[in-house]
Amino acid sequence: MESIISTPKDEPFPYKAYFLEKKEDGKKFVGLFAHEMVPVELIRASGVHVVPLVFVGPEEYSSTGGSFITHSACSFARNIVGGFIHGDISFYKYIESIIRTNYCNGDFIGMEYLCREYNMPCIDLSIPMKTQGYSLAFFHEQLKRFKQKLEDVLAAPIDEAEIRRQISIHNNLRQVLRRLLDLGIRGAELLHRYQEAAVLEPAEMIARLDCLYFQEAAQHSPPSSSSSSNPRIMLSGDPIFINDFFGDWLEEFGATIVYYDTWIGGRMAEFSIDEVDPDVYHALAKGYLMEQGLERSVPAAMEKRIKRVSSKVGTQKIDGIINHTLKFCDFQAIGRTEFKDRLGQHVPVLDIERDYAQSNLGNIKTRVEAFIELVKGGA
Amino acid sequence: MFVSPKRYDLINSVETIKLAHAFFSGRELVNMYKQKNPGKKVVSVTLPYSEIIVAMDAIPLNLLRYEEFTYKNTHALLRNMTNLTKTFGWTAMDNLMKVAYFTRAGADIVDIIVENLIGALTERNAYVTKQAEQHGFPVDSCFGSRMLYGINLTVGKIADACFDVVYRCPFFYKYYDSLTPFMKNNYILDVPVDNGDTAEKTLESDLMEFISMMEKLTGNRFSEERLAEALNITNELKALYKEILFVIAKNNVIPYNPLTFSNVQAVMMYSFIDFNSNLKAYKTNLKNLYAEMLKKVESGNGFDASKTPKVLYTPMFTGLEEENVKILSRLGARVILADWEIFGYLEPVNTSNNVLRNFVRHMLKMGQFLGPNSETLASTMIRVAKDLNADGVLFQSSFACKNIAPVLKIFKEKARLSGIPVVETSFNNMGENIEQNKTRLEAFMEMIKE
Repeated sequence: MESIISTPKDEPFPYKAYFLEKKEDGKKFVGLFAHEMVPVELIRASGVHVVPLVFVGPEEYSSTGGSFITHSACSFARNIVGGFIHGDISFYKYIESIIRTNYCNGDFIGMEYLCREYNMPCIDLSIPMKTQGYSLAFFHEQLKRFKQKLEDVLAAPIDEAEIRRQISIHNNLRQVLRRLLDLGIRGAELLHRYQEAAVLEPAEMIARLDCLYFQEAAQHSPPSSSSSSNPRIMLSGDPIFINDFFGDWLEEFGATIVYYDTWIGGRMAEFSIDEVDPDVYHALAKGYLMEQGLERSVPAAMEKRIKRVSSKVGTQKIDGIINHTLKFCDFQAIGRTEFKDRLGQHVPVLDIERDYAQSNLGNIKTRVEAFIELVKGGA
Repeated sequence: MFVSPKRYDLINSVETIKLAHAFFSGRELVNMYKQKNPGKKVVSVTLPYSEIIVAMDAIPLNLLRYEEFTYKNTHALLRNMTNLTKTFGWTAMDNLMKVAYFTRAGADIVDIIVENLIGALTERNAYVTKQAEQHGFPVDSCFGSRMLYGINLTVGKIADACFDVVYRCPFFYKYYDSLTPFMKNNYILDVPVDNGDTAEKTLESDLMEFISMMEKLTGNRFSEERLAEALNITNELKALYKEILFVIAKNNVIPYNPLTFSNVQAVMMYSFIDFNSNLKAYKTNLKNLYAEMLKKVESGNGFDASKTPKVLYTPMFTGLEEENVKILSRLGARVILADWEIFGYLEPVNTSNNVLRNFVRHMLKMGQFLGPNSETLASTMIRVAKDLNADGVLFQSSFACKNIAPVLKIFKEKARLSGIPVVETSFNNMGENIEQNKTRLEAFMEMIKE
């Protein structure tokens, strides 16, 4: 594992080898539809390997997925379902059960189909859409039941001390991730680190970041993408998932992202779980519902988003924002105009809606290049 | 075989016309209520939980009813009907129609009532969806959300508050949230995707928050007695609704020709959302409507539907494609609309002891059918199709629906096992794909008849 963990920062991370090695441990694999509101601490406390479904593939996957969950399901969910069906992502076949939530339509419809098609148990978690006191109490209770369901399906008891240990180590990882920005890591390099952080176990990811950036030897080599002449661009909205070339394209088109305002991005690191709360489930519910998932919650989801992004524009000295929407995303589709109109009064905003097709690459390239010119002119 | 609609179906149908008139005259009626009692608050509703609004002594309003239905001067006709019935009563309306039927003008009136009301609804739906798109609402979102957004834009000002209830679709939470900048007191209820004590307590707290907002808005105190009173009425109405679905609609003789009967069912279903803004009047109307239907059937004035296959059309609460109903009727089918039964809304609510908690349980129960489990929803559709002795099911997809449309695949598998033929039609906007739908429906009907 050590050689995998220390894969050079400019080389693609060998996820296949990583999971293969994990498989050899003999532990169970649990699939998790990608989003930010499931406390992975709780799942990892059961001693299983979590496989976040964050690996996307060609447009063909989305078409296949669409025939199961309709072609108007979000591009990402269709792609994930299609990826499973195509069977090209080898480590998906190790997955024995799947976590399903009501986070978005892609999650509960897509995961229901996967569980049904592959005859896998679905471990359900209900997430409130509000953040009132009663919503928190409900989520608190749900997490306790979720733990019970995990124990039942995985046939492994979950020890509270282990949950606390997982909370602590995940908090440590968040802390280390925050330091990447201080080092001036940006662009595709920064994105790849966030993507790895979404997949690797936290101790391994901390070790990797330590090896790449914080050990004495690493500190002598400056970050590879730290050019300070480019405008400082923020990518907001839907995350860029693993194997999606969009992150690299942006860099080729001249847009260097200094802050990823996405949950596979800066937002992964901007909350932490209270380690002194005597009730671990309460601590997890509070962290994930009231901090991490704030922008999913109603009412006034857009207000909360604009407030946070505005604040980041100031602290990260942002010159322009790319608002990234994956086609048919439940949460990004509504409010794109409002986001652009309101934030556009303070900083240029480029609104990009896309799927995993490469056919519209030329159009995106032209728009991104024009946007960078505009930002450079104003910066 | 094509069956022609019989225009005289609406003769001796005062209560049917009354129901349609009240539904399509929402603007006139609500303005009249507000004039009588300017302090009364109007609350926008989109799912059939208006008992809680009635209990707060406010006016529930399905905003679609507040639109002006200008299509083929429907609005003028409706106003004339209001004026006539105000002065001479509804019997005069019936007598006038009987006389007028034998004149060219009279025949036109009947024609307008039978066919144009639903047409007016379709026309208005098309208008409001365009409004939504022009206001920046995503063009590739589902028809239901675009239509509702457009309605809120065009007539939302009349509402003093909104009571938004969402099931199953997280996108719809975002849709409701997008109304907040221009809709007053936009309250979104978060129905937990679960059941049991914690879910009940959570929903009850949420509902209490809404009630507290309503108390401030209306100046009225909430009382369980008033809620129980409203629920007792709707329990009665739900039982009648079930009778209409499972007795009258299944019968060999039905009260109207199939097309008119489908249109009446559509108005019944949509009007159940806000009880045409007046629960007591609605109760009288519906009870008399039921009696009127029975009388037609029992007196031999009904339509012989013994050779008319029954097609369950679902889901239709997200948008009824009028043309599909017309095509099926022309092809000799009778279309039954039973969404409220499928989603569990027609189950009675216990009005003894803790009434609010019972109401909460009812809301959660609807979540079991319309909840996140596609299997359950598909199975319920099959159960209702069987209970109705349906010869087939038309599954109506709406393009960009990422929530109910995916149930189709599971539903088809279950229907195949149950021997129930299924046809799917889809629309992005109403009135689109008609030729394609027609071809599908023709093949479907041939299969059923075989």
